[in-house]
Amino acid sequence: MSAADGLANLDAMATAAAVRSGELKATEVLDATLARIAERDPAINSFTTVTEGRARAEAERVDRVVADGEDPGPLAGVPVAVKNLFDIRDVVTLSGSAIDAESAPATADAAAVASLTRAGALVVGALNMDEYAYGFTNENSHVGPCRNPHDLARVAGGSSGGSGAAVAAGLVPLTLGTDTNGSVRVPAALCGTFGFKPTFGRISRRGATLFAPSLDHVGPLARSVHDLALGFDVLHGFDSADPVSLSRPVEHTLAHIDQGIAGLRIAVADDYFTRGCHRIVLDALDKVVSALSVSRRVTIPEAERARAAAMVITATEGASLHLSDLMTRPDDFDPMTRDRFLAGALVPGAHYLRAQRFRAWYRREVAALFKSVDVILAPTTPFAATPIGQRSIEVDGRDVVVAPNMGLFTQPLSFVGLPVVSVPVAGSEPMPLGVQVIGAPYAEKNVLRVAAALEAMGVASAPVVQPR
Amino acid sequence: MADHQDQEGEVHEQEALQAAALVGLPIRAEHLSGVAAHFRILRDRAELVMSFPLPDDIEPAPVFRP
Repeated sequence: MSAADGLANLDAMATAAAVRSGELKATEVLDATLARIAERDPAINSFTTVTEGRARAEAERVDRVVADGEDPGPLAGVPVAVKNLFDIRDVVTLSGSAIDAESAPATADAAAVASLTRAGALVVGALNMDEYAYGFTNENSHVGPCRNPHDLARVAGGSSGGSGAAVAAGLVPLTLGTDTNGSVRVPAALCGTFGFKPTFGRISRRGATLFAPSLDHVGPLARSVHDLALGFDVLHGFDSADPVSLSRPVEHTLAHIDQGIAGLRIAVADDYFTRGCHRIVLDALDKVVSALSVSRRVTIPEAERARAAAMVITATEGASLHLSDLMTRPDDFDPMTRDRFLAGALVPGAHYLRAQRFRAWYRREVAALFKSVDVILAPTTPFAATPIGQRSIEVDGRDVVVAPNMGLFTQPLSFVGLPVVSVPVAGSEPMPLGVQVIGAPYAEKNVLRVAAALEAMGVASAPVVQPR
Repeated sequence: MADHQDQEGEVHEQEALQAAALVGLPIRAEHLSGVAAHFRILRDRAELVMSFPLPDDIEPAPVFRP
């Protein structure tokens, strides 16, 4: 095994520890990272931009700080990459589109990118995604599909597909995605990584291209729960420049997630969350349920209607953001998104507002549920990664459309901003599957504790996918 | 059966064109069938939401703070 391969298996925590102790130089980590990207990514297509110059300057700075005996930050020397809708200073923010490729380079980092850099991370590039985040498969017509490292003929999931694939392939240990309806959790599940969507408003969206502003979240993807917690700790906090940013105090999680699950009331979601999926998905859920000795079941009420309302809101808000381009240059949109954006522009106001009022009702019902449970388990996707280009799949004897159904189980949860970790269930064959660990608003610690317990038991794991 | 589907598709296309006219959004002929199909899906989803009886005191979820 080469030095580069050895480093690929380190998570962010281990990389930072080695750099902070002087055992590894950040510049060595960067060289190995760039070599891996050059070797493996042409087949995967997760990166759309590699920011070598910036990352090298950051690595040299970290090495100087370490040599001077000062604190280089909790992510010292950790290579990270971000979905290409996050502003990276001096880089054009593509947001998965051809239209935005005409824009001037960003003049400042997005808030989340700046947080990573302040913590000592090395920003090595921007990642493939569905155009303007409107998709669950990352089949991007402009730059090509992002391929699943477990099977290059299959989708990585979306819309943060590059963020899932780059972590799964060991190109970087930590990435950023955004999740409006499942766009962190779906690629995490399909690529076999951990993915974390914190409570709505926890992480600033300043400098990130919005998709559906009343639903958009930022979240990290990684190969260990500790990395998710470390990422969350570095990223969250109030930002007056993001109108939905929560003014709650910072609540660090990393020191609290290894205390096991004692005292947590855990239940499994029944009804809606057990239908419309492949048997292997329920088998993966059963593994998690058994490992945690969960016997309690809960019904999240009106989940199907919640998903319907999320679809109406997403289409309306998404179309609103792009209306002038939809009017003047529809042919420049990705054919995979164009017709849906155009249709979203036609939604009557009465439908949109009713969906937002239903959301308030549903939030109240879900909050009541969390008075008697702390954590709820549910599958992440209804089936595993499908072949690139496949449009329908058989479920329970009938054909369903692949892309929208990927969000079947994620949409009713992001709709009310709940914190959710998607954990990769160990031993899922032939392709990875995820289970959602869902908490009450602001209870990030609880979901990370359960995810960490599953990882410690070996029930959830995200080993680097080796090239075949 | 095929005729019925064709007729239904034409109705959906006309509905989409009427809604687009209200917004002032041109829909190109080559995009119309796809747009109409997605518009139909959104209307189906909206019907599910609209059919749910909500108490009058429920306000929309997003709250504006000056």
